[in-house]
Amino acid sequence: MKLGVVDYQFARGGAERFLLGVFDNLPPDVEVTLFSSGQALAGYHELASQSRHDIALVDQPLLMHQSAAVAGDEAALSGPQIYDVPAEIWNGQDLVWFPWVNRHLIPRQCFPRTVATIHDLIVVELGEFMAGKREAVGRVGHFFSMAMEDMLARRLMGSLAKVIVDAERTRDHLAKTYGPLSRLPDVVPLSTEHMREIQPAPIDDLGLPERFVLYPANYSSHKNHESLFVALAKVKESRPDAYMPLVLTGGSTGNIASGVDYRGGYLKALLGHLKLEIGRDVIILGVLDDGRFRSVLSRAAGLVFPTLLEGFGFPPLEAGLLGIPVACSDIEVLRESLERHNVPTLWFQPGVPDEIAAALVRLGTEGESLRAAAAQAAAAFRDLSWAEVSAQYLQAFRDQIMMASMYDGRGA
Amino acid sequence: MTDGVPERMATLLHVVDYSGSDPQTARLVEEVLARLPVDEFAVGIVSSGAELERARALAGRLARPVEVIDVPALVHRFAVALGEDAQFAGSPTHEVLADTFIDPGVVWFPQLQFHLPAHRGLAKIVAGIPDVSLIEMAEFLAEKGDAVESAAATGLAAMADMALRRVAASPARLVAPSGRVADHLAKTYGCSPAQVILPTPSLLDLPAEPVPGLPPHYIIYAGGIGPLGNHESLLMAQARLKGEGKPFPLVLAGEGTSRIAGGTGHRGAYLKGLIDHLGLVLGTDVHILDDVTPGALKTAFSQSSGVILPALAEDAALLAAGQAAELGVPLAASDMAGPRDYFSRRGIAPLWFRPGAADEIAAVLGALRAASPKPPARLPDPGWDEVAQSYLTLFREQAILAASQSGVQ
Repeated sequence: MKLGVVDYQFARGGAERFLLGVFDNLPPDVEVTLFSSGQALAGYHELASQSRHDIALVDQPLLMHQSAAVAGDEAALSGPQIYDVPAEIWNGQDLVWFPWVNRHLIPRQCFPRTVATIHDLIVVELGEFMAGKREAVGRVGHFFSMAMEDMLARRLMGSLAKVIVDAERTRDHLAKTYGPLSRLPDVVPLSTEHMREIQPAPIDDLGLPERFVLYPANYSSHKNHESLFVALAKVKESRPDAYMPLVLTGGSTGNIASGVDYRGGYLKALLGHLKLEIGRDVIILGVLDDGRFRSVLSRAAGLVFPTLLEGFGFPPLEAGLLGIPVACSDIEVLRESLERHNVPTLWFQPGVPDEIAAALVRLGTEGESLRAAAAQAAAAFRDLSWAEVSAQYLQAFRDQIMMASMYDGRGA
Repeated sequence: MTDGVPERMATLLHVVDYSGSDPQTARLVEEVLARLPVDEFAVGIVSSGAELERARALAGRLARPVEVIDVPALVHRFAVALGEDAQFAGSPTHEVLADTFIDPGVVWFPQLQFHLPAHRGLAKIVAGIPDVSLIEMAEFLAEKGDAVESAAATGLAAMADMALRRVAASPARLVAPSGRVADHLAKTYGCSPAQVILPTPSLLDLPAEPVPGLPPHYIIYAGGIGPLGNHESLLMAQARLKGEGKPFPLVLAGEGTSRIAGGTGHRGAYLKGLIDHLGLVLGTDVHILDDVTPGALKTAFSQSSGVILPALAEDAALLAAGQAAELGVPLAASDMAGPRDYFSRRGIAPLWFRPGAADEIAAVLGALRAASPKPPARLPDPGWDEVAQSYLTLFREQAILAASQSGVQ
């Protein structure tokens, strides 16, 4: 099978694990050619060097659509880009897979020989909310991204491409929003297996307090740091006996410490307003490598996850796998994944700081019993392996090639 | 207070237009504002930049007080980037910020397209949707354009669709100019727009202006050269007839047609190339008039053997065809819901053809040339009084709704 893979975004973190998990377990007769450009391609050079599967990389520059905010004579390009994928990429490939299809504009005639993974549509679903949290230029970019991703998803869902999602909740959302659909998206949950294989790395130099709660997430507005900060301040003031500092990891969290951009500045100011001290009440570690992240997670008194929406949500599952108590948002997708693995969870409404505060108090006061329950659940935790995930993708690729060949009228 | 009875405060109506409406919509604004009761509605026009001048000119023409208000909007542009180079693409979208909606009781967007209103103001909005073809035909338009036009078509469709979804799902009132557009809005966005049909400006009472150089026995198409004008199918049909030994001159009028003669711009060059490829000769088979005055258009229609409308959307070309029908000129038109809706309403029975079928167009062209003209006659159409009354009702209803939503009634 000649498998073209197209991605011009190259998201770090969970996306890298996902790609390695799928690539590493593909059979050798699947010839992978990956098309990308710019910084994304540089990321893929790194990833290809880590992969056990041969990946041919092709630098294929393309046209990008962007938006700009204009005020008077001044104009500023805003961040999000839409990638106008040329049809020639499909030449010589049996199938083209978009492992992160958002923001890729696919030529209509190429849909039958396409498999597309939608991890989430958060930018569309929470678009108005997220745009409202941005400064002018960011808002312009966000609305552009929201409008374009919505349109691209609408086209994709109405096409002959096969769509794969990570969670039933995402499948149901797509069906409800863009349906009725002639074919529902396949659900292929991601694996947390990698967490068992990661070797803990020393973290003594991080100077972590004895007890802390951990929130691993970038600082995007849907991650809802503000509610967590308000809850933390409430606990600090009203239940000092239960209080534990909060550790933040993840991309762009460093901007909260420095306050260098709009979101970072806002969250930093909020911490100041709440009288939470960076370095003492809120410890910001930024991006950690896998080994150090595992060590930090293992030492945490609990993982708190107040996100408003996720496509899958790795961290609570990873915590569950390691026997770390979990307190998290009572949202469909997290219910789906955590209940599938019977991870004991303190649920809260993410928009209600009092509920988050109550969960933090329980993590602070019932640590022993929560940890025992979490350890017991971890012992029974059985997840899909990446080999199984990859096999499901391989089957989806084969099914789609079969469908495309019938569509082309060339026979299977 | 007057004799113990409290005086009613006039409702403040703001007309928001940052993009500059098409001529038909601009006329609508003028005709409606001229007829709104002065004691019931105080009127302001909100705009900024180059459009302010147009607003001031309109205010000057009206015999009522109209405040022209300069409120800068946040302008969203599309851009195309390849490597380090970026270029703007397409028309801007104006984000109309929440502050714009604080003072007025009703906010009228005569043409919602190219505007993104803030959520805060939705309950006050009456929004006109003159057409939806940019959204419906987005992929077609993207494929017909060069790289920059393609990006513009895609971006505009996405933004217009998002704005429509936002407004359609709100207490705002949408207004469609035809049953066809109203049906599409209802089906796609789940809303119930009001339908207010606008009159077609008649050429009957205008003096005809001379148009030199018109060929004998020609067919005329008056429509812009955008891809929705579908000139290619018409030219293919013409070439087919020429190949069969039945040549006839085709006159093209309308926005941008001069670009065909010059072969300028992506579309102009494409159509010029197509004319050459089909063995047609500019100046012999195809005559270009460009965008002419209404008086000249009257002459061009009146002297023609027939008018053809192969357009894929109901735009200015449809109105031009309606004007020609009033002059009694035989007419052939695309068999689509928009033209069907329009012509049946006006009691016009054109020859129909499928716009993508050059064979059918060729057959119709033959029949059109053989058809006899009718005497000029005014055809059924609503008047501006009727239109203004409909809008008056909409503004009153929306003012009540908005007041009830804000709890200040």
